[in-house]
Amino acid sequence: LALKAKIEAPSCQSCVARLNNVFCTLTDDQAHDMSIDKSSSFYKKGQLIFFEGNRPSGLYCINKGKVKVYQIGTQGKEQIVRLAKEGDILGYRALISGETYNASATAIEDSILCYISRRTFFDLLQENSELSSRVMQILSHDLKSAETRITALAQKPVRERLAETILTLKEFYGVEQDGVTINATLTREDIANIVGTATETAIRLLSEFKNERLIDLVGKKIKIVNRDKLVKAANVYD
Amino acid sequence: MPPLEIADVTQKDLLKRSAQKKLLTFKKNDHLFRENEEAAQVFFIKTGKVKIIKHEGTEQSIILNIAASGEILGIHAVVNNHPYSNSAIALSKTTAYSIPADEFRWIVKNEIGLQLLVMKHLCAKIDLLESRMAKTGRKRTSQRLAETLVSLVKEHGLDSENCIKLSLEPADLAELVGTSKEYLYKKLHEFYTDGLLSIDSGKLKILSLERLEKAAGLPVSGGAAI
Repeated sequence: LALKAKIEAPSCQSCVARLNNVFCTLTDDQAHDMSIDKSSSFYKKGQLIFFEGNRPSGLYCINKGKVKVYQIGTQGKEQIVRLAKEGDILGYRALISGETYNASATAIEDSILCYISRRTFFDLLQENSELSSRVMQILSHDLKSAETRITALAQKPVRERLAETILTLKEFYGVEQDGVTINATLTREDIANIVGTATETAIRLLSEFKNERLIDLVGKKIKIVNRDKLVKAANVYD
Repeated sequence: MPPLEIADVTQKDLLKRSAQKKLLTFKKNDHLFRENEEAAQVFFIKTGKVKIIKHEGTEQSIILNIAASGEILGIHAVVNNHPYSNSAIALSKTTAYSIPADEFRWIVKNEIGLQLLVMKHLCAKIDLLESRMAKTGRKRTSQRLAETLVSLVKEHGLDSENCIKLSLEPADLAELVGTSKEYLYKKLHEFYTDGLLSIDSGKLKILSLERLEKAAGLPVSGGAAI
């Protein structure tokens, strides 16, 4: 079964995803070099991109699609530590620190990912000090959000965490044209693995939210019906 | 694999570049910095132990980690010019170099080796938190308590009496696990009744590390049911 299909590589110079990501600081020449070096692949929904414990030889840049990054426990239960979307880069921490991947990544929608070799990335870092500043900023931001998430995970009740997760998903992936449906298709299990709870609990609480008219569920999609009440349920200040 | 063609720079090099660094001494319970304050400095811990604690958004604080010699604190707030996202409080007498934020940013700005050092430091901290996130999401509080104790034994060691060398207040331990003090006492008492540990003049004495590992659901016994 050929899940991984070769596709026509999008060019870095004209990549819209690049304009909002860490590589936005590249000069045209540098973007051109990166474009020649990189390879692009299509990942089907559910397909593994990299596996925890493996050694990276480059980094991934999401041209199109959505990805979950997660760790697997001894019982086989996933905990999603991060979600990624168009323009985000993956696997760069292991590359920088010279460690193995501390988590696995799987496409949660059909996605196109570009692969940039270690050599190219480090050459660019050395040539372009704005790029390395950007990388530092992104890492600093990632650290701050990891702190916030671990705090919520350890301290907040599951119901609050679920409400907060729904709000975060909306913030992160945006909404469809109707203005209320979150623009991401996550399984109930994925949602449970973000919140850090059993799938049954996530399902039960989602229908609670539905009955209380905070959200509506259409297939796997979530509609935010009453944002104010959801914010209240999440016990967040904004 | 070392990064390609980038000279290996150490923290010493970074400190050497700073003309405005100061060596400061903190007593137990002194703040190095406070959450939400303007990030005016980064700190390089020379000696001692510092708890990194987060209050915001929750009723109860949580200790993110216990930092020791060699760690750099406040770095992500300074890099992004944000207020500190956590507080740093000395657990014991601590000495640390402080470098003003502006000078730090200026030193790091044009030297790829130093930038890489900072990046690696940030990466290590994020990795640590993500691993903890995964554990926290999967485990019950009693398992997390057992696991916290096991990692305290592994990181700080035991003295001749089998007590954990790092002495923590019960409140600190509760914050490290991410639970209330009441619940902590209850669980410690259960561990005591089960003969895993005892409490000896405020110090935690480990009676069976193996059984504690089991209680933590660590892979020694083929896995405990969740």
